[in-house]
Amino acid sequence: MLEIENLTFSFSEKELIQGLTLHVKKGERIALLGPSGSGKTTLFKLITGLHPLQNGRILVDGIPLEKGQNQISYMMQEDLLLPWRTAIKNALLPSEFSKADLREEAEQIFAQVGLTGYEEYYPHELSIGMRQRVALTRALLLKRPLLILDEPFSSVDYDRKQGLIKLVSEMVERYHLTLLFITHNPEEAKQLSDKVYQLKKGCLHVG
Amino acid sequence: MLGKSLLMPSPFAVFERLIHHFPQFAYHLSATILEMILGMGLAALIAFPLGYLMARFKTVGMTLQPLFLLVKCMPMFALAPIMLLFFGWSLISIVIPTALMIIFPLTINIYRGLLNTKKSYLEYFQVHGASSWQTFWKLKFPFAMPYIFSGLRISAGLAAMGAIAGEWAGAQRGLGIYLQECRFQFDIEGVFATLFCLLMMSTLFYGTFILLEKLVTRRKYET
Repeated sequence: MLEIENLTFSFSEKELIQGLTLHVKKGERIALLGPSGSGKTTLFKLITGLHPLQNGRILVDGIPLEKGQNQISYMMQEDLLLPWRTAIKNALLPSEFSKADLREEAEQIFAQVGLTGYEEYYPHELSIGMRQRVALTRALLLKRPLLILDEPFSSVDYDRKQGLIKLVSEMVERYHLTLLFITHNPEEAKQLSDKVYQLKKGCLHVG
Repeated sequence: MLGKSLLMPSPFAVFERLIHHFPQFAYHLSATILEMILGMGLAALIAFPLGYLMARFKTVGMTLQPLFLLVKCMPMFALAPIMLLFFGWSLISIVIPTALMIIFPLTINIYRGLLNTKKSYLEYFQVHGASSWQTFWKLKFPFAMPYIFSGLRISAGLAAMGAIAGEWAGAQRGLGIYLQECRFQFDIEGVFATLFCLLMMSTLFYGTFILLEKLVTRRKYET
């Protein structure tokens, strides 16, 4: 599903990624741990094509990066909700790009993440945790083959987090998605992933 | 000049003047309002596509900004008589200087507004395959709204100045004409009453844009 070969990336003369190689099979769930500034988000931005490739190559489903972008659903660290759209309309935003009507499914996921009744609320009327759940709904709704989540549960309380981990896990299994996610919580990584990698000084280490 | 006071008139005398000569004020006011509305309309018609093109293409932005500065530096009171040469004694000779006063700040506000979109939002749209039209319509334009309305509010005051400049160059009616008549006759109460009308009119336009902004955004832009 995802092949990263000998990837190197420097920013302001600092080498953030050093000859990184990673092969992810379809349906696999990968957790990425590592201290702040270790290059985790940079790696995700390279996979999604937001940072230009300097060295190495990335194939998504065998297709070079620039052509494989519609395969990816990316939940960034910030929730990136548009302040003038309601919660449900924010969740439906990327599906509007391909003119798909996913309102019913969005409402179902809203129910699963505990947002029923908040559909017509604007982002400034929601708590940070609720906003993060809207962003997660938006990412899950697309059901694109490669699901990339950057700290998806960082603002969610423990009980809610367990429900969300279960939901992501179910969605990944049901739709055969490949999951890559960043977390600072080793327990979260173990619960949701098949493999855990540590990114240290630009290199990947297992476990 | 005999019998007219050259002293500062009392507010009461100014209001009395307004009330007693209301039909006269209304006659001139309606002409100036029409010129302002047409001037703002024309400016908006030009400023929106220009602002879009400037934001879309860097070279357009870099080429047009010095030109705008040139137009902005030109005193409208000097430009207005030239309009008469081109368009004769017509409404358009007044509307064009009015529009020229507004185009610069409005276009720059639209341009700045469209460039104001946060990079991370643009990245989100890019990753999820939004077209350039979708990115403009669903992201950049709504993000530019506060800037656009700020430009429109500024234009409310400038439109009155532009209309007066145009009227002074050549018009039959309008508050500018009435103001000039009052000045020549040393009618200080008339001058103050006209200025009060202009002030009220600009405030009304300004208030209308604030109201419109609130209606459009309805506090949704709070973060």
